[in-house]
Amino acid sequence: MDWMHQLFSYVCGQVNVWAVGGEALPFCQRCTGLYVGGFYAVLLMALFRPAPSLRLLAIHLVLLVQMVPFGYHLVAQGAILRTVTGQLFAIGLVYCLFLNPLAKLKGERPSLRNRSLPYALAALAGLPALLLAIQFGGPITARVLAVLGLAGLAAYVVLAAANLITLPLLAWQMARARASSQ
Amino acid sequence: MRRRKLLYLLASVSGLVGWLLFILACTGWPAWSPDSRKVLFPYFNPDSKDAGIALYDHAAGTVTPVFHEVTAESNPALPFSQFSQDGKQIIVALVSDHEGMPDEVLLLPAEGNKSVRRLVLPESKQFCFPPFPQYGNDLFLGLSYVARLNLKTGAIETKELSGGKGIHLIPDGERVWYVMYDLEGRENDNGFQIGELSRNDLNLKSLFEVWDSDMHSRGITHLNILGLTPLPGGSGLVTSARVGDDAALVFFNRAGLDRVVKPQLPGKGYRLGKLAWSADRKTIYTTAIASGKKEGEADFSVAEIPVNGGPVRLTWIARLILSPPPDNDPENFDLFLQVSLSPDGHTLATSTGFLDQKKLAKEDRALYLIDLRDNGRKVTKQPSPQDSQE
Repeated sequence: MDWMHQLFSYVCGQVNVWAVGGEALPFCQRCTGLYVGGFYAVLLMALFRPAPSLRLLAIHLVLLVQMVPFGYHLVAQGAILRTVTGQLFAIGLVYCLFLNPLAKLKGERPSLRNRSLPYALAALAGLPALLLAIQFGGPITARVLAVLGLAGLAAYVVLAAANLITLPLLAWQMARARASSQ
Repeated sequence: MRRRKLLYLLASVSGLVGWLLFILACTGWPAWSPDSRKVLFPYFNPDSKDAGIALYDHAAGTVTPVFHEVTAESNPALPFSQFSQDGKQIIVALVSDHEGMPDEVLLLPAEGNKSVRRLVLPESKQFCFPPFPQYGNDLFLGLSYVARLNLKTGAIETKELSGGKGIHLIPDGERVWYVMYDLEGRENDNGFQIGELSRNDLNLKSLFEVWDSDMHSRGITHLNILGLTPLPGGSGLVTSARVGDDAALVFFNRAGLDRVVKPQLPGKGYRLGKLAWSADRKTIYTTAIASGKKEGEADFSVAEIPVNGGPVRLTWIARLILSPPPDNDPENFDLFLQVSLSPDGHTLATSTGFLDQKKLAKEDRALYLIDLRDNGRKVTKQPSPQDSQE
């Protein structure tokens, strides 16, 4: 996994690392939650496609903001809390990055089916699942987690690129709509 | 429609900015993780009787004394230091084996102008070596007693030992191992006890005892008790030792002595120091001292021992001078030549700052940093403060 260590060193300080079955993961404990949890969150978004709403966005923004006290070490924390806060941040991040590109792909009409509750339950179920894998996994689990983390990183890169492309378009559309209404 | 677009815009910007801030923070925004960028190391200038702790800032390339003491004593209290868990304080333990000298712990602010706190401990006449276990505000020290210091309130609790002369504490995740040495109970036999410390009531839970006679029966002629290091997964401890003229690693499980392994060193007569695990747990790092090519000289190197077997890689650090007895016993160096891995696993640090001119050329008294990402193992030398100021 040396090349993965090298790759993740560009986006992670690699301090406080989980060793699963004696194999050190190529990212820190918080980034384990962010990248492995990020891949899981992408699957959830693709599967449940929760309808966009201000309330749901506000909840996901809270999941982003919770990183401020934990990330800046304003709150005492251990390894488990680092990973859990990373996972919660991942859920918020994927939701935020998914909305705009998804709307472009599906057209302006979002999914009408409200799947928020099963989405929330599945998201919460991912928290203990990852911790159990870390706690009781062996070297193969370590490799699987590293690959899932890599998939999570790739998903963030694709989503970030999609947002960077669609964001100016969205801003231009809004500006044009505002000008025409005046 | 317009409201939904605003929603998308807000989500998109929040996501992009959030991820960018997360990466910046995790890869080492100064306020986030200063400890992999700074190294504390002890130094001692025998000419001026100036002993202290220096801070090497990798980003700035500077070496700054953060603490020093000048004493008329020929053998001053030795300062040992570590960063607090949050990196905001430098913990300096001043311990001495002199009669009538209390042990002290100083809490120095790593940054800013906060005042220094001094916590005075009972006299122990024992040494204690970092890393000191820290859990939240509680710092634990092992001397001739076990002490718990509250770094926030300054409260100190101690518990006397029974059955041993001194104790050394070894942090291992949520567990604290202990080794109590110079056990009483057997005539003409010396022993130590390994167990776990209860952090709540400072009680000791013994796991097993090892006596010199047990070790001799396994061929072990010297064991580095203060170098005991946890095995990954909390399954036991390992330390460096000697089997006759060979360097060895001795593994302990929770029941006692497990196995003795001889690393594939290039020759005989090597002395290994305290051990440190690599980030991937496949390599053990340690200091190695062997006789030099000339009479009266020794080579000081850092060794990389593959856990699954194979030749040991040595990175040469400095040439030591072996003066006439008793200074020519390399055992004496074990306490002062240690290796430490940076939390990011990229850099090994070792220091010769405590050695005097009888043992080392003055220009070689320094902090040495080994870049583990470099296949050639580039070594960077940072002179001790008194030398860099001259």
